[in-house]
Amino acid sequence: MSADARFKFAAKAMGTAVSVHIADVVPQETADDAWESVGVFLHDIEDRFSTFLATSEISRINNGELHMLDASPDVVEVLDACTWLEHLSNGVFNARRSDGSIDPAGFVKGWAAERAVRLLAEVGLRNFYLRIGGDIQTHGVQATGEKWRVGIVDPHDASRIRSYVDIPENWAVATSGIAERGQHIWGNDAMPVTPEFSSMTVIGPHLMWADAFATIGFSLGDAGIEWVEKFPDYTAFTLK
Amino acid sequence: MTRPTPTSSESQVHPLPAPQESRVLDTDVGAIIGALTLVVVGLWSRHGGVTALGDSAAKTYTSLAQLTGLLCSEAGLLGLILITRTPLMERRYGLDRMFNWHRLLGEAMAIFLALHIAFSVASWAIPSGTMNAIQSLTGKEPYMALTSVGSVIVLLVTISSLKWFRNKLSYEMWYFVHLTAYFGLAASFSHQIVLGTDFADDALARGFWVAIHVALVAWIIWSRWGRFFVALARPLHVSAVTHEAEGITSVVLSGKHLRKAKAQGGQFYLVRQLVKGRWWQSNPFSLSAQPTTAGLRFTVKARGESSNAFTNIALGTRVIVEGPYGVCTPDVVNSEKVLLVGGGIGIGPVMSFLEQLTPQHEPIVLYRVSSEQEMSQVKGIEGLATARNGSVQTLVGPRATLKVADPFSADALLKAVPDLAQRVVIVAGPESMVKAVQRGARAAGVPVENIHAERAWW
Amino acid sequence: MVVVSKKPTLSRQIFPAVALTVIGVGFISQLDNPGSEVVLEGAIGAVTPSTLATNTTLAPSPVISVEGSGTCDGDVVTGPTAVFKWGGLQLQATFTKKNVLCNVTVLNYPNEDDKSLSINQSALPVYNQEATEAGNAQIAVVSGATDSWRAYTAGLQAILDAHPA
Repeated sequence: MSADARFKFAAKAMGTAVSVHIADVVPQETADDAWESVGVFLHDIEDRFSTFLATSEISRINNGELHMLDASPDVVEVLDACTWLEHLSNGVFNARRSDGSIDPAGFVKGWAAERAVRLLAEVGLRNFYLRIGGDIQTHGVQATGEKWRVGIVDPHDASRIRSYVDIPENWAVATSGIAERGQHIWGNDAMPVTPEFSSMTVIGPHLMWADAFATIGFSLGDAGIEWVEKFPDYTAFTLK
Repeated sequence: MTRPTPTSSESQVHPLPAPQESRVLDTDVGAIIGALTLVVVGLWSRHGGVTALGDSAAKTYTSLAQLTGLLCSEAGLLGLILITRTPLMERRYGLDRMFNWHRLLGEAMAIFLALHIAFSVASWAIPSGTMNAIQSLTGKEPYMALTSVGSVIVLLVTISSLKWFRNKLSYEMWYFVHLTAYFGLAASFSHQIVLGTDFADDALARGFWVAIHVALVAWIIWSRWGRFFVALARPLHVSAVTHEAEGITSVVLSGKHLRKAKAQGGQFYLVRQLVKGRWWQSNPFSLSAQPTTAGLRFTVKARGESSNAFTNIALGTRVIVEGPYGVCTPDVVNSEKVLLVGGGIGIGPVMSFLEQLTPQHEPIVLYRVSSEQEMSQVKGIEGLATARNGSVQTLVGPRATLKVADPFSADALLKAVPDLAQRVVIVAGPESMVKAVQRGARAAGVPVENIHAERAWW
Repeated sequence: MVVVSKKPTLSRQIFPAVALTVIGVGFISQLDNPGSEVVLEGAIGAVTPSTLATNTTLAPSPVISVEGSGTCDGDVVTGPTAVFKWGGLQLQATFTKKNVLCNVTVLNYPNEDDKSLSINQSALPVYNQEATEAGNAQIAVVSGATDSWRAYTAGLQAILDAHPA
């Protein structure tokens, strides 16, 4: 019997780093299988959503080969959510580029992370977290029995932790900041994006919304905190 | 003219002393079986077996596969201990009962083996499907091809020993099939310590497992081959052959080595002729008379190839004997009245018993044969019985033609022997007859500790 | 069956069972035990983090007060050097004997760009202390703006990922 322990994994996916820390004591085989299923899932998501792959559903939608409503249920769900966020944020969140093509990358990251966490919960893991590129969805608690403690990184110096928060069980943390600029925040021209702070962190039950809200809130500047906290359970704080 | 003088003083014939009793207690045997089970289950539990149950399907199946594999081995180990025929146990329980337990342990082992195979396939099938699981477990994993062959052999040995098949095979054929079990068990050992995580990952457990197997193999070799060579060093020869009736012959074996032998009437020996073409057969024969330094007397009924070889044995043939075995001896009787029930080949031990009883036992003999012609030595038995205030009743004919449906039912026994409840019952014969008499006697009120049996297991 | 000449004493009867049980249990206790199950208590009540949310930016100080620190004499882990446009960056993290992050040192820092040098210099004396204070509180993961794979390899999360819990 292989030794039971607490396992951690990290790998490159979706252009960034994916980490999984399992606080449960499980056999190596279980942990390896769980990690592998996450990897398979995330690569599948890349295959279907990446705008850098001509064969992805998104690309095929963009070049007219595939109609939006004929896409796979996941793609439809993601595009639907992006549309909703656009309306919700009055256009601050925008999954469309200026040439009209779709790029849901901003939303897909958090959404995929949450789905991956569901996969891990289904194989029986109870206490773990999954982190994609700075956003974290937790499940359960740490091995010590305490809530997951997340350090918030200085937006100017990635080697430095500015503060930390204890996350309620099963909640998520997402941070949006200056490093992301130019990647997926395309404010419309009527509302120039000039953030007064360097990063915003949003904490709430679902990573896909926390991620989106952090992105939107960051772009809104001072009004961003107010905007995020309209939604019950979601809180925001910023770092200069 | 000088008279010839005897060359030694052994012209005095005296009975052989009884073999030494065993000091083993039932609690000792229970302690050993209990301790072995404790260690085996404890090993499984310590490695996480219990906590894995009910976790996921894969973990549960794996855990059950491990447990059934361990229990299968344990049943095999206990069964092999019985095969050593160690006097510690034989002198207490008798070889016939030890062989019966060996049969039951063999059946338990086969059941555990089937469960172990089923759970292993189920567990391996979860990640990769049943076909892949079977392929892995029969060849792709190391040592599994050999283990699969070994498992098939063990299952074949078990099937051949089931009553239905056993009756169709001659003793010799059944015995040879049975011997292949050694190979079957040896072939599966490697996978236990290479694939079995209880041993592959735990050096202490593995050391223990290998050690007890090596010790058992050494014990078996010493007890089986060792006894053979000891017997070879003490040969006897045929000194008298008497044809009593059709197919029934009395053979007397004598030799100077009997001076140091110990045996009791009612016991049996495994007899082997040192004759070309016959030396590899060893047959059990009961002493049909009280053994003396003059000779061991066996009454043999021709039933198969090898017993035929005895009924036409030549005077002077060199023979080696292994034994004596058996615990159904006259000292169990004390001073109560006795009922002796014998059938077919069981008449030998019955006769030997009779010779050692006294008038206070008032022995009644119920002798069952399948035909009039088979009633060998009836006159001899009658003489022995009446000399001891007893009598002989014969039941002649195959079951179908007997007036009474079950000749050994309580009613039938009480009719034949009205004071049955006050008698000690000794029964010697085939298993089915032994069982029928035990049933009937108990139903008729004989206390169970007063019923003794010598099973004809051959 | 053989009649035993005298009834065995009680101690003779139970001695083998007792002795074998003791030996058996002793043997089993010496076997490898692959690790006890950690039983985690029931759900911690859902507490909204509204205690930290304010409508103003927070001063850069830890949110929760820090307990006494342990001595920082455990493993020292050095991350790989990541080369960025503005220079290289390599972190060295020190853990306590109980594997709590207690010190972070930057081994190389970008010095080609004056601007980044000034930021780092002002940050350096301060951040060590803060990271230490934060580290004593047993941080399991860090959140920041999405970092590229390369930036990740140079960062704190990579060290947390690599070091055993």
